[in-house]
Amino acid sequence: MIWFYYILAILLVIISLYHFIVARNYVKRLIALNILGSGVFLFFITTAKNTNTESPDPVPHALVLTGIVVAVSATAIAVSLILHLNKEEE
Amino acid sequence: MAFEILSIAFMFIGAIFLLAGSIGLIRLKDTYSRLHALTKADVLGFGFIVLSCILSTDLLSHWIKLLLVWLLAISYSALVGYALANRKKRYA
Amino acid sequence: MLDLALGLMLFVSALLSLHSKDTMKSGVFFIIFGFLSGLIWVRLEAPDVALVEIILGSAITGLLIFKLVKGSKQKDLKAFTFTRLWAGFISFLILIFMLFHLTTIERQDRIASLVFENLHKSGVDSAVNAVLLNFRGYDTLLEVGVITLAIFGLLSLGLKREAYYWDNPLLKGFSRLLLPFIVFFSLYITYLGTFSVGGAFQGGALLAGGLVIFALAGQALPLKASIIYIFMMAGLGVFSLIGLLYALLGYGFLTYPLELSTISIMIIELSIWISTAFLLYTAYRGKL
Repeated sequence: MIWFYYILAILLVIISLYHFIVARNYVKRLIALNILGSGVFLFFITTAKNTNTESPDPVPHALVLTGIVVAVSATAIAVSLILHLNKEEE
Repeated sequence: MAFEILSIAFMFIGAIFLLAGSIGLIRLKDTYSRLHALTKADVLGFGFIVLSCILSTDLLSHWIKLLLVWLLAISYSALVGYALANRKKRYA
Repeated sequence: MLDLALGLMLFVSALLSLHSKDTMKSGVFFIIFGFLSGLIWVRLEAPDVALVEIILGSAITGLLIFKLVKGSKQKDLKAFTFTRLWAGFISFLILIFMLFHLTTIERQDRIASLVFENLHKSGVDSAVNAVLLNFRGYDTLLEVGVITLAIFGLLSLGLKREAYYWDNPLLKGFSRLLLPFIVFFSLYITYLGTFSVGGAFQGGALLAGGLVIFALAGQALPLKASIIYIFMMAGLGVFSLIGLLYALLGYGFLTYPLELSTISIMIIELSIWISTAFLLYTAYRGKL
């Protein structure tokens, strides 16, 4: 089961990386960036499960927890920067 | 033992209602009938699942938590149904 | 079996979200993606992460994306063939590289056992919160600093665009009825962080969700701007003040003595709870 999640994480990272480069619409680019982050988080959490101890490793969990909060605030600032950009172009 | 059988039966009934609701959401043609499948069948299925969960534990604190979750779910389901129907009526 | 179904659904929703021509549709599929990834975190025994992911990664990010979709009129242009070619080439190279490295991963004892051995010295029973607020307190302090900076940067852009709201008496009444319960429940989750699943970020995310529902009904909180500023700065301020206090007392920066660790961690959790909630609420509103 662990290997399935590892491969899923890698696939998510790859397809979102491709779309991040290809997309010319900022909304699509932002969504691709968020999915890329989710793929990385999935890799971390799967690694946390891949230990000999009975319950999973809490250190990657803490890192992912803070990572999600940072990702949301980064998305917020990206959204308002893009809105600003659109206002300038008009 | 009797409670366990009852709990499994309720879980099964709830799953069938949720499945029916999801199939209706995909298959039905217009928005209002889809809304019907989304709000009614799902709430009924969810109620059966909560009942099954209540039967499977004997802790009072779990019962109270499950009942609160059920109350919240039915109230927001009603609100979501109202909101979607309202928007549809205004923009159709 | 369940893992397989969830994983396939996650992958399909990601693909649909990235491929669809309509940006609104990709936003909706992104929300579905967030919910499914929350379910996968539960399957992988990470309930703390699942709580935060479902509220923040799915709901609030989805709302932010909808705000962007409504605000921007940009057309979805097709990329140049050359761009597609080199993007595909780079992605393929990275895929090969990662698949090669996948073969070197082995099941081993990571630092988990170290955490579980030292858990009794941390002052809390929950391993994740022990790591967050005691063992790796520096990281969390800087992370709170990062989100505070991001939101103040957003405020300094000074965008006047009103966040979307729906002016409806039913939604207003519902959000007003719900807000006290959400505040109470998020405090409960924050308090649970000392011995079980839960904690400051989870509770803060929940409160932010409640405040965003309140704002979605087109109402402003009855608080002065200065009080909201204080709430937003509370996490960073209290966290660094407590760290400095222990440094002056001679224990070292963010190193709590054993008998005082539980109470200091609880104070820090409360401050992070309120500041996370108000920072993310401001991130949605885009203004005070």
